[in-house]
Amino acid sequence: MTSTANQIRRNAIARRSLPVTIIEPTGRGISLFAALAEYGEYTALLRYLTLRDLRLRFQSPLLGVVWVTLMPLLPAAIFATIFARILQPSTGGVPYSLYALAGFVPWTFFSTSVSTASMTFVWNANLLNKVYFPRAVLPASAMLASSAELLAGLVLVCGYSIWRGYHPLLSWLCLPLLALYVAAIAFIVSLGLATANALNRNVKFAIPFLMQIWIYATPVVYPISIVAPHTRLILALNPLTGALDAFRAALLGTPMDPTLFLISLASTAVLTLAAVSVFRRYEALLAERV
Amino acid sequence: MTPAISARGLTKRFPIQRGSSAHGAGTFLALDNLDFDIAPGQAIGIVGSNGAGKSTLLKILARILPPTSGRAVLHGRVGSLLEAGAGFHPELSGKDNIFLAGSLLGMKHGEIRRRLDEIVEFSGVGDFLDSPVKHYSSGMYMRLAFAVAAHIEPEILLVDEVLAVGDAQFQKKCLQRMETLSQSGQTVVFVSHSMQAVGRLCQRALWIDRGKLRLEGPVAEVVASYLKEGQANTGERVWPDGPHAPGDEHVRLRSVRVADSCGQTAASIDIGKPFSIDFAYEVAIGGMVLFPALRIFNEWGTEVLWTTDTASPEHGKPRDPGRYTSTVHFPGNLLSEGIMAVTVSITSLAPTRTHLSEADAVHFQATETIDGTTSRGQYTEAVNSMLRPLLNWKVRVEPVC
Repeated sequence: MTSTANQIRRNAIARRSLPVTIIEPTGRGISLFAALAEYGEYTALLRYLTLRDLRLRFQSPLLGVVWVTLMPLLPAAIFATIFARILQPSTGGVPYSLYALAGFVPWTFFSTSVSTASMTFVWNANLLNKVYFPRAVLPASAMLASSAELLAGLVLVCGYSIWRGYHPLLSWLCLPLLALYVAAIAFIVSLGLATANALNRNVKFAIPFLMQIWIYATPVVYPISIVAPHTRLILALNPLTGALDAFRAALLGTPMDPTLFLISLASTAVLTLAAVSVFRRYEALLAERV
Repeated sequence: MTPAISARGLTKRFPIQRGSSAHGAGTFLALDNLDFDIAPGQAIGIVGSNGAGKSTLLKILARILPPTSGRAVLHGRVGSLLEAGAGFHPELSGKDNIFLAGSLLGMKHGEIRRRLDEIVEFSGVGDFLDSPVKHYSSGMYMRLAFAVAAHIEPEILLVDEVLAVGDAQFQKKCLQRMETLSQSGQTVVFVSHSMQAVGRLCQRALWIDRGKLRLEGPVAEVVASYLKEGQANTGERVWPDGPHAPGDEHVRLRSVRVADSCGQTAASIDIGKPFSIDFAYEVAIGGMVLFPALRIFNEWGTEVLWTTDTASPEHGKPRDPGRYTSTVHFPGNLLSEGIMAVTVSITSLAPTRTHLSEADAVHFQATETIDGTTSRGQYTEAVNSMLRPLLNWKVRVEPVC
C-alpha cells in the first residue's frame, strides 16, 4: 500500500471509525493481513454458500449417502478383484481390499473436490460480475461442502477395517487431522486451478488428465514399498504421497515413513505460496476475465 | 467535510478481443480520467447514454472491476445493488435465499436474523417462505430480492438500474425505500435511464459522456442539459457504412428516424397527432425471412409497445439483398407524454437469430398541447397512464322521476 493511502486510512480512523476502501489498479492491492481479515467479515457468506452446496447435493439424503459411499468403494472393489489377483502387491499383511479402500477414500475426495472447486469461478461468473466479496470464498465453500464426502469416507473405511478384524487404535484420533490436511492440499490446488480456469478456458480440459496422472503418482492402488527408494523421494514431492502414507499408517497401525511426510509438508508449503500468489495477482481481474 | 466517495483520475481501459486470435486486439477507453467528490448523505444520480461508462464506474466503485489507473477512496461500508436477486438459487427456499443473498451483500448472520421479519414483511411473500423460489412468480421473486437488498444498511449504497424490472407499483416501492435510505444519511449513487427517478431521488447528478465527466451539479441542471443535448442529437441517427453499424454479416442497421405528422425529422412529437418512425437497413445475404421490430420504452424503462411488420406485404417473405426502409406509422392519441426510447431489432426465424437489437437507437420527446382535443380534454392535472387513447365514450341521460 502506498503511503498516501495509509495516511488517508489513518485520518479516517482518527475522525470516526468508518471503514475506508481504497480502490486502485491491481498489483497495488491490500496487504495479505488485511485480505485475511476481510475473510473474517464474510464468514456468514462462507456458511450459506456451503449450506447451499450441501442442500443441492443432498436433496434426497438417502441417495446422496449411497452415492457418496459408492464413490471410493467402487474403484477400491475393482482394484481389489483385478489388480490384486494379477500383480499380488505386497501390502505387509494388510488385506489388499482394505489397503486400496484406505487409499481411495482420501483420493476420491481429493479428485472430486478439486474437480468441483476448481470450476467455481467459472460457474459463478454472473455472481463475480454483480457483487463484490472476497473471491476465495467460492472455492472454500465448495471444499467445505465436499468435506461431507470425506467424513462419510472416514466412517466407511473405519467400519471396514473393524469388519476385517482391525481394532480401533489410538492413532485413529489422528485420522481427522490427516483428513483435514488432505482437504487443505485440495483447497490450495483448487484455488490455483480455479484462477487458471477463469483466465483460460482450456484449463478445464486439462484437469481430468491431471487427475489421471496424479492418481498413479500417488500410492493409492500400489504400496510405496514397490517403488525404488530414490524414485520414492521424487514421488514424495507430490504432497499426497506423504499424506496417504501417514493416513494408512494411522488407520492400520503399519509403519510410517516420516521422511515422506516431511517432504509432503514442505511441498505443500511451496504449493501454497505458488497458488496464493497466483490467486492474489489475478483476484481483482476475475470478474472481467471469467 | 471528508467526501464519502472521492475519485481522482479514474480510468478504465478494456481490451477488445476481435475474433479468436489476439491479433489486432485494441483497447477501449471506458472511463477517461474522472475526478469527482460525493459528500456523505448525498444521493447522486449518474446519467448518460448507453455505453457512456456509467455501469463501469459503478462496478469500479463496487470493487467488481479494478481501474486501469487512478484511484477512488470510499469512507464507510459499501453495499452494491447491481442486480436484484444476485446469488438467488431457484432450488432453495425463500428463507434460505434471504440468508444467502444477505450474506452476499455483506450482512452478518446475526444482522440477517434480526432483520428477517422486516425483510419478509417488506417482500410480502410470507406464506411461501419455505417453498423453493423456483415456484415463485417473477413478481414475488423480484420483491423478495429487493427486500433483502433494501435492508442492508451500508453508509454508501451503489444502485444500478434495478428498477428497470418489475411492475410500476414495485418500482415505486423501490424508489420510496431508496428515498428513505438517503434521507437517513446514507450516500446513494444511482445509475438510471429514468430521468424522473433520478430527479426525484437525487440532489446532484454526474453526466458521463463517452467515458468523460461532462457535467456535475444540481440534479435539475444536469438532467436538463443532458436532455437538451439528447434532443439535439435525436430525431435521427445514422450509422456510417462498415462493420461498426449494429448488425451482423447478414443485416446491418443504417439509420433510424422519427418524423412528425408532416413527415419532417423531429426530436419532439405532439401526442395528439400522428407520427412515424422509419429505419433503414441493408441486407447483404439474401434468402432469409426477416422480422424487423420496434419497441418504445418510456422514462421508467417500461416497454410501452412492441410492433413488427405483420401488416406489410413483405411480411414473412424472404428478402433479397438490398437496402430496405421500414416505416411504422403511429396514430395520434396513442402515447403519453415523456421521453421515449426506441429499440430497433431485426430477427430471423428457424433458427431464431437476432441479427441486431439496438437499444436506445433514438430518443424523442412526446409532448402534449392542452387544447381540449386529446384524451385529457380540459383536465389539466398530471395523467400518469402509459397510453392516452381517445376512446369512444357514450353518455346516456335518463330523467330522474
